[in-house]
Order: sequence, then C-alpha cells, then structure tokens
Amino acid sequence: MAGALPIPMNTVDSSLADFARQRPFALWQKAIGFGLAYFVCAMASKLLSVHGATYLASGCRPDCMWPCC
Amino acid sequence: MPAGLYVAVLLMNERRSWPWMVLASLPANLLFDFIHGTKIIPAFLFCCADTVQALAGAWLVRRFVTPRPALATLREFAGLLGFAALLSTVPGAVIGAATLVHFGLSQSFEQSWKVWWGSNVMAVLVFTPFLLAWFSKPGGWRKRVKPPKRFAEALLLLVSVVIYASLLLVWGRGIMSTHRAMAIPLLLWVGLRFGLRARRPSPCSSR
Repeated sequence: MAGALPIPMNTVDSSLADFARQRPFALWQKAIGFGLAYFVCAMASKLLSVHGATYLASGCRPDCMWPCC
Repeated sequence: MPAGLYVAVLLMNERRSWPWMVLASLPANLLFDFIHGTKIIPAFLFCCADTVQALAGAWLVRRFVTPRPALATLREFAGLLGFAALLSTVPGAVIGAATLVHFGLSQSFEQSWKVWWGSNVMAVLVFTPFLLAWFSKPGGWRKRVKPPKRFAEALLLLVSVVIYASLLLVWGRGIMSTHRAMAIPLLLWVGLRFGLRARRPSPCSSR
C-alpha cells in the first residue's frame, strides 16, 4: 500500500526519526516495539551503571541486589 | 533509562493507547526482574511503581502543560522537569522503596527511596527530553549536518563528548570529579552549533 501513497521529496530525504514518526504503525506494533525497547533500555542501564563507585547508590550494602548494584 | 522511555512513549501517544503501553511494559519489566533473580510479588510491585510514576508524569504534563510537549518553550521544559521528573517520581519511589524494605532487599527505606527517586529523576531528565526533541518535530538531523564540514564537526564533537565522558566516569570520580565543569564548553558548542535536537543526546552520552 505504501507504493500507492504520494511521497514528497522532503520525506525521502528525512531521517530515521521522521520515518518512524510518519509511518502509521498499528497500535499493537507500537506496543511490542515499546516493550522490546523497554527491556533493552533496562538491560543497557544495568550494564552501563557504575559498579562500586560513589554515585547515586552510595551507602548500599555489599549484598544489595536492587536497584543500585 | 526505562523510566525516561516510559514517560516519553506515553507523552508521544494518545491517551487511549496508554493501556496497551502499560501492558507492553509489564512482560518487559517482569522478564528483567526474573533474569536478575527477583521474586514474582516484588517484581510485580516494581512494575506498579514504574507504571504509577510514568502514568502520573505523563498525565500531569498533558493536563497542565501541553498535550504534546516538544520542549520548544521554557514552559514545556519546566513542566516536564516539575511534573514528570520531580513530582511523579515520588509515589513510584515510595512504592519501590517500600517493596525493597518489606521483602528484605534493603534495610533502609530512606536510602532506597533516595536511590530510586534520584535515578528515576535523572532518567526522566536525560532520556525523555532526548526522545521528545528527536521525535516531535519535522525536519531531520541531516539538514543540520549535511555539508561535509558540518558532518566532520558533528563527528568531532561526538568523539569529544564520548572521550570526556569516558575519562570522567572510568578514570575520574564521576559526578564528584572536579573536572565535571569541563563539559560546559562542549555542551555549549553542541547547543549553539547544532540546536536542541543535537544538544539532547550529549547528556545521554555523558550519563
């Protein structure tokens, strides 16, 4: 169906963000994408967090499991 | 980061689609908690904490600031800061910290609340504006960095910010470092030369 739609030139030269914004994703597609992104963000936060440093988590017990270690 | 993503996604979607987003975050949240050894009830309560704070933040911003914030005005930024970052994270931190203490994952409610609230405020402050600025307005980043010189400058800036963040976080003392003010010239350079949309990823990379 996308081939039948008129695509302006500036759309062709737009960024990925513009593409994502303009494309009419179905609600279930958005929800699944959000769920995946949420999980990836959570894992990335865990990997990127500073371990053993005096940061927001100062004063945590050494055996503390969540959310700072 | 997930807290910032949650608020941004709710703000970028119509209110009628919020239940779907909440449903989508549930398995992601539970899976993450199960991987890290959290039991079912605390994991579910952590989900509730994240959902309450995201829903409250997005609703407050929509109700009292603007239906679709793009961070184009000071009012929108202040609204996001006050409602989504500082205020709505309070009940989420209360639920999260109470869960931690109740299930023996932490001994101090106060300390847990501070950590939970602080980390979520930072997530909303750093990640939500980035997503809102990037996905809210037409006109791509290519328009700003298209000429080769501009692209080279953008690349140089990106490398500088990443090196600076690495030095600060890996070899320095993080936010306690005396060299943290060195970020200001870099961030000014990004903001003045490339505008809001390029300015937002800089705190993300230096986070």
